[in-house]
Amino acid sequence: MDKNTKLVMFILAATVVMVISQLTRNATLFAVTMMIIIYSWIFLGTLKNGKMPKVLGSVWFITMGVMIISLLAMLNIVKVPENITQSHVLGFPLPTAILFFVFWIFAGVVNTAAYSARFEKDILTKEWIDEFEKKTNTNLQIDNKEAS
Amino acid sequence: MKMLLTTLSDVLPSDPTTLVAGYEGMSLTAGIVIFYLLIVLGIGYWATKKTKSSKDFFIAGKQIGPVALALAAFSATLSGWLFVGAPGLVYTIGTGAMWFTMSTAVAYVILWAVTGKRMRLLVEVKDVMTVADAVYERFNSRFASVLAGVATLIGVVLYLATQLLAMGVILGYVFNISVGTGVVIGMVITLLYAIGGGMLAGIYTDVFQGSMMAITSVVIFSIALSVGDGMENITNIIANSSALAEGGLGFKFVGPFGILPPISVMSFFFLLALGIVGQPHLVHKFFMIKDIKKLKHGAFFTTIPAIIAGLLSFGVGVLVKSQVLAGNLDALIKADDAITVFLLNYTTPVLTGLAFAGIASAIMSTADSFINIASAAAVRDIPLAFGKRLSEKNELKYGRITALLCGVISVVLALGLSSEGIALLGAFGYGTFAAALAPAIGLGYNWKRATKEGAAASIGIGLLLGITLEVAKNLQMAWYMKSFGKVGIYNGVFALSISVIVFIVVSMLTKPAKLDEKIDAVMSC
Repeated sequence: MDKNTKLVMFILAATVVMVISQLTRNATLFAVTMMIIIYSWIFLGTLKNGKMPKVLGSVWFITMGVMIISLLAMLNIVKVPENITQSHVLGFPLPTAILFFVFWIFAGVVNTAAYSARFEKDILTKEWIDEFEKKTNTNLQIDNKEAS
Repeated sequence: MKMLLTTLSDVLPSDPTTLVAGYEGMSLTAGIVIFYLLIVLGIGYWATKKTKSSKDFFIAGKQIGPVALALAAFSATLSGWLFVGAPGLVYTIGTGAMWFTMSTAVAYVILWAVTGKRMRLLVEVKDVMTVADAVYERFNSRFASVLAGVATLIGVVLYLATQLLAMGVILGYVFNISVGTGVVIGMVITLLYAIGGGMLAGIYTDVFQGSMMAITSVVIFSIALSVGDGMENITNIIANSSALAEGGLGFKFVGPFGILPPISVMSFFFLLALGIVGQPHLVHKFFMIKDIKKLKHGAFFTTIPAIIAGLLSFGVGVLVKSQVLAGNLDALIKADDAITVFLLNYTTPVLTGLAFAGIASAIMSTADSFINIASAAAVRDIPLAFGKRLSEKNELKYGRITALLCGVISVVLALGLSSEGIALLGAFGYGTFAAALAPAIGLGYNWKRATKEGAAASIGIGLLLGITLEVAKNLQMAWYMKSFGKVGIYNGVFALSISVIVFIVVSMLTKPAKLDEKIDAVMSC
């Protein structure tokens, strides 16, 4: 079984757990499996020859951890509704601030900035383009084509 | 929730129609909207001149740059919703509504990482213009491809009708005309540039309106904070309102999940995030990029305006809610009127005009994208079912005719449907596309073991389950209300989950076919 298939089997197992969490209305289980499934798809799209690029993989793995922890923190705080507005950050109630500034803006910026920053090293290297062109007899390198 | 409804119903509701009638700056606002629409038509005229082939018409001649792609992807995903639907939903359920928008924390990186590179490489080695084409090339299965084409065609035409209804409401407010007249006028303008300029017109309209929307959003959010005397004051008014005291509803409203159960709002997030891989109007934008290396900044450039525009939804939604609870505004008749009530009460006619024009053009550019992929499905995917391909000249000719037909059918549907029909329309939304197409495209292009049987089963079951559950929910069928409705399952997530499971299990139980060499190269890169 290759690594892509192993990851797909992991996605299958996680998806089954998520269906169970929906049927049992278990918010904590849903929160954790939801994030694991989402990032597993991202990792699957980024695997090359069964290997996850170290730097990009690490950044995304840490971001996934931050998102899961912030989700669990929010779930914990809202158990007592009155706790929601006990403290504020930039005008937002604390758990809402976690949602806006950590779960959304921080994760959104880091996820996409990491993709941009590591694009030539982890998403599409010069060697991979050359290999693809050789296999398919195409020319992807528009800049070089235009320059020549 | 019951307490909330009872209390609000005691207040005289706010009716935007009355506000509009008494709004002194409406002629200036209407002038700005007309000017804006003329710019959109100008873009359509320019694009028509540049559209010479079916490639130009359906995939913008593969000449789109990174910023244009990013703004188009942002506009096509969230535009009309961010301005109209989201503030209304925030007004109704609180912060929980933001989870739709907050899916942008991961949605665009999923779209780019899972499909971006593969789809752009695919168009390099195969004659691909639609998502159904992509399904066909990956699985070499006419059945799976036709299912994808049919899902796209039906879904898009019906979804288009809901867009047109929204357009009719906006134009109705601005020009003091009936919704029906607004629908017809909106469709005529959209068709004028969609039939001529195809996807090129749609993309550059998206760029124009996406930029305007991001700028307008910052201004509107600032005004909302200023009117409400800061976010802390706004949220405190809501949290401590006596109208929302029962069960801590006010605290929950401004909390991260709003007044809905956390699992429900997390479901919004999951569906919007992962389901993005199954949206034909987004996936096929990767066929249009000029240079594959331009994928680099796309996800980032798409996420930033989405975050900025998301602040508008929240700002307007909570501000209007706090003003209603403080007694400064009447309760809204329809939650979707939150943005209209805000603009007419707290901003200038110029800003109101820019916002209305932004909403109108957002809906129009989305409608144009839908018309375009529907006509592509009709002239490419359906003929393929019978083993035929039209010539490039005929594809362009029939593509334009089909675009016109799609527009006419959508107008008829938008104006002629009963309330049950409208409920049926609602079933063909984001969730249906997600359940039907996300596994075949997202997993299919990243897992060589996937089979055509898995793809066909997943598309079929995803489509069937997605539509059945949504129709049953919208019509409140007894069997649904006693089972899914009782448990509170979010249909889209359930259908998507089952579709993923079916795709993987059926693929594992069937024998994989040998991959085409070029497809293998696409998947190995």
